[in-house]
Amino acid sequence: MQKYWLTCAAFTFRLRALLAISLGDRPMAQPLRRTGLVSILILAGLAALAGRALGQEPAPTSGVVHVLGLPDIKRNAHGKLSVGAGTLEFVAGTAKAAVPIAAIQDVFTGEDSKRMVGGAAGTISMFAPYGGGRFLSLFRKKVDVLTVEYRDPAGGLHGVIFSLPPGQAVLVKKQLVAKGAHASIPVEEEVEQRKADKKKKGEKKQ
Amino acid sequence: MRRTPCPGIVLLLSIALLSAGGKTTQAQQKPAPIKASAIQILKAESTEVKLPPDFQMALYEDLIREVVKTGKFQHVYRDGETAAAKAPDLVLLRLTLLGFKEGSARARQVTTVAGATSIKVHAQFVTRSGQTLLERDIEGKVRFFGENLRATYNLSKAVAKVVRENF
Repeated sequence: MQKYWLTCAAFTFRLRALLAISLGDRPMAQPLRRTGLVSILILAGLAALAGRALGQEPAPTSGVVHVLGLPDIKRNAHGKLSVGAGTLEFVAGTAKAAVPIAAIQDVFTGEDSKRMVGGAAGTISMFAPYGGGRFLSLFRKKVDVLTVEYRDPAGGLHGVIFSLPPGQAVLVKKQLVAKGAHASIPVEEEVEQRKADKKKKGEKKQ
Repeated sequence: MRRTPCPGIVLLLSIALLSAGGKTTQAQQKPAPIKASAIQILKAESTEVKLPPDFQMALYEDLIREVVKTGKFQHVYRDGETAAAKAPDLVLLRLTLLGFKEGSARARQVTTVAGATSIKVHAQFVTRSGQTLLERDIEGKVRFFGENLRATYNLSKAVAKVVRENF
């Protein structure tokens, strides 16, 4: 116990001494040393950020629904989508599928909406009395749609469609393009085109 | 004294004869099934009518699934599959988009009568040399239940029905 207190006291003394040196007890050296400390901290932060960007893979996108296309995954399976080193991976529970990024021919993003109450419950709710089901149908949530076209080793064309939380499809497309996937329409152009389409629809309604 | 036949029996017999005759004429009209062991499904062409990419890929994937389900072909090849070149009696399924109307699932579910989504295609079954074996205009719609992409599933089912009837 005594040994522990002694160690603590020694550590505190060393820390105080270090702070006294770094911040400077002398008035003339203080601003210079502070600037040095701040620049070291900034450099350390930048190095950490760069290491994260270069070394680590981007975090997987959760809340993704596999609409169709992946051979080993069931339709409407919920899971995580990630852009790894050379593959686009989708994991739904124990099932896993990967599409080689080099085989991707095109990537498209889009927007859609789906019912808040979906599936079997949504269908049954359609028969609810006094238009209850119809009322529920008014509540819809926006989703992003990511369509990926790729060719298998035999040359066969495949299409995969994912439904993602809003704003995520563009990010995944950017990651895929950065890793070498081919996209006929650039991300920015696609976003602008969608905005223009929305504007047109709005004008038509008016 | 001669007995006159009951008019009811005569009527029944004539109906039976007519229906039998109708069946035979129908059987005569029905063309012989097209023989092919392999089919290659090509991606739908949408030059004049623009089909969103998700609908295009959903249509392609649903079509492959439904044609496989018919069990009429030993091999169902995808677009660009190199092995298809070796198939002896290959049929190509070519779809050309004739019309597309994207409805609204919300309008459909709330009003029942509005917001239908429809896709119309011209389906051609051709040989490798380009000879047309069969062609039809087929439409897929979502009227009441389901999201917009269900139109591609309904269209694929309709194409599969044509395959079942003619192969």
